[in-house]
Amino acid sequence: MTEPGALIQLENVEFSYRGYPEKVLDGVSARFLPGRCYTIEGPNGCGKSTLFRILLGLDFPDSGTYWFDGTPVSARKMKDEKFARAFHRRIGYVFQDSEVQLFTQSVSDEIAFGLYQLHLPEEEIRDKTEYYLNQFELEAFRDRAPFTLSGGQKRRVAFAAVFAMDPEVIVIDEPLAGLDEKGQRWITDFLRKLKGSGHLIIVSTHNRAFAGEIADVHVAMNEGRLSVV
Amino acid sequence: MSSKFLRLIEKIFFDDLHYQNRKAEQKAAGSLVLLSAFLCIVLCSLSSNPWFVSFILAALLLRLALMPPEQIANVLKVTFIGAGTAALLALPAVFMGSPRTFGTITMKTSESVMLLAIISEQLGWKGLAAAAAGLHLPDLFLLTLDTTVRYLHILGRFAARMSEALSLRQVGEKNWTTSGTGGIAGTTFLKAQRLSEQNAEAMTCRCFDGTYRRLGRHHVNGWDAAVLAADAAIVVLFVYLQLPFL
Repeated sequence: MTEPGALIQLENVEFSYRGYPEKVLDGVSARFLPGRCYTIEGPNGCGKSTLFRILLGLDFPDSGTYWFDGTPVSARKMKDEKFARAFHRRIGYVFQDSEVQLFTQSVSDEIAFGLYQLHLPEEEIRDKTEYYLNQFELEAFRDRAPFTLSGGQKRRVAFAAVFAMDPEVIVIDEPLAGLDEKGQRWITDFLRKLKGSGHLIIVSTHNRAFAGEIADVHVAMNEGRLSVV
Repeated sequence: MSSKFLRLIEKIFFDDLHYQNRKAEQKAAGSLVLLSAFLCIVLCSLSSNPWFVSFILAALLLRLALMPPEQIANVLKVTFIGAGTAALLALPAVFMGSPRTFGTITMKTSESVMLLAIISEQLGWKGLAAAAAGLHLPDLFLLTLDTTVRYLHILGRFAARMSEALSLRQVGEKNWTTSGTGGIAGTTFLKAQRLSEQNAEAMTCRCFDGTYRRLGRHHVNGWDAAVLAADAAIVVLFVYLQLPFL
């Protein structure tokens, strides 16, 4: 059973990739509370990305349970399209390589993409798109194709596209990777401001100073196990 | 797969800033322009009167003359290739006693190629895709079109960088050309596969249900009316010049 207050709960989750005997996640148990910012730090290959894939419902535990808001998330459950859409509506993901999550031919269309999936009225989509273009300082690039932007600009577009859908949980994979100092500062300040907004934020990073600046709870991950620092 | 070819692909799709400048010039709806071009090509193909084809060609040359020099060069390059190929293929007609066929085929080909090249220069890739959206083509078709263009750019850039890296390592006597090209093709294929998987996952995470729309909305203006008037004039001219042949 889930503990009260936890939006996400993992219970003894184990996972290994097909054909590989090594456990990537080895008995992971954790509770993530709404309104808090968690940073997960660990070496390459320690299982952070796999953990994120499970949190996003892209992969499923071999054993153990993943609870989201009191509902167990399993492969069978995710086959229910209605549930899957409602689940993905509540949990947003910013990829480490922003390029893979930008599909459209312009920045404004990219922000509107998720809003169209929510079948909002056209006027509301326009208003929200304008708002997020403004919030993420992207007005100047509104008609540019996202794949022609710089790394920092692409990251901002990816953030804007995810935040426009207003998810309760935001999972961010290595937000500082490949960014210059200015870009890193922007992301750090943004996440610090975001902390008070009630979102549950889960961030993976290699940068301890960055984790220290934004984290409510700093978690270390090593060889498929989590431990609070 | 030479690095020059890969850079060419990158150049074609990376012309985004250039596109922005062109976008300001685009005044009529892209979809209307596309339909008008289609009408023009069909009428020219059907016409038996060389004066009609000559008139359209003259109008196109006039339009071309009003474009910036760089775009004129691009359009003429493509037109010369198209017209040259058509002339070469139709050349036997001259020796077989039908020189008029040679002229008609070459002119009609030049006209069609030039018209499409002008539209391509004016609209760019994004404009053409937006025009297709304006024609209410299915979302899936538009998504496929956009994704193809995007991946051609991303993978073209990736392969060009790999080709550069390979050329920097070609310092010895051994010729790496064959193995290097195979390596680049293989790695690019694997990269494409990985990108497509991640792309699909990213779409799932953003609740993708097949809806793929664009924000841009074209407001009907005087330029649209001008294009429609030109279309009507072309149809009237076609009928008028075609009457003696009926």
